[in-house]
Amino acid sequence: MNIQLSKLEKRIRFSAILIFIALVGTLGSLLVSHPLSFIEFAVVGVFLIIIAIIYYLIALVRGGGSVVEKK
Amino acid sequence: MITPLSILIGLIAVTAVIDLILIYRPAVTREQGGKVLAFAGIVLLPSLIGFSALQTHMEDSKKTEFCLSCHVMEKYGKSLNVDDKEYIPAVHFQNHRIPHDMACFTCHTEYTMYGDYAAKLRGLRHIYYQYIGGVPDSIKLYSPYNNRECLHCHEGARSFEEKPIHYQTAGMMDSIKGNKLSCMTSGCHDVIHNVKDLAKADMWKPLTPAQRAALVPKPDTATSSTDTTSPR
Repeated sequence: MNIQLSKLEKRIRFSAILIFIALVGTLGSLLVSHPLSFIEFAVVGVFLIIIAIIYYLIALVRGGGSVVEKK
Repeated sequence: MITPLSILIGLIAVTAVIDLILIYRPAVTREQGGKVLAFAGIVLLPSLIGFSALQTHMEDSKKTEFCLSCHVMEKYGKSLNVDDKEYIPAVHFQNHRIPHDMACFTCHTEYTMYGDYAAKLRGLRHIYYQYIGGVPDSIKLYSPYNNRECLHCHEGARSFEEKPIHYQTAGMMDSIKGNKLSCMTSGCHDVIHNVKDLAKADMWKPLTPAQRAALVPKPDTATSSTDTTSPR
């Protein structure tokens, strides 16, 4: 059975990808003590987390969670 | 040892695992538990990580090594080791009147409600000048140094309050406390970093263990023999 993803699930996956990239950026910024690591944190970490949360919340509001199953 | 940073890294690892599940198995969100997992992995934990990381960066940016990591600040860091009691920052640094690991931040922040954040916002401007705008030839403070920053520690201290020179003229102490008479530019404590004179200045080096051991008085042989033969 091949389960096709709904629009909502695709959007959740995209948000999770953004969060994952943000986490990698944040982790990198925490390991080095340098003024540029704060910029890395702000630009990669904070920015992507905000975008991902907004995208996820919009996805919830828009819905599109119907599942299509292919047999 | 568990530190705030290690907890934060652990939190990042847990969130990353949740996000990997959401990336490779997004269908888990069809169940109630999956929906909660998605909310935690996309909204709740990342928000918590964002705030915690901001706090960690704020604390990190207070460190002396952080300030001195920019080339332009090196000579100011060097001035902390001048072997001259006239140099105010050097005396404070060498005698641990300010924390060694937060030497710059302790004096160069405003002791106001949002002083820390104001200092860090100025720091962002410094990053711009360092990497894009170009560092000016002479570095100056944004505003005249406020006595409030000195008085944060010195006010109420016996060495400050009872010093006769601070009462040299009528109302002098009130003027100092009211920031009407500057501690630094009034000609009293006017040797600050003075980086232009650093080439001529002698530098202080902390004692090595061998030098410290040499300072310990050697036991007198006569005394030690008396001690061993003394009646109990």
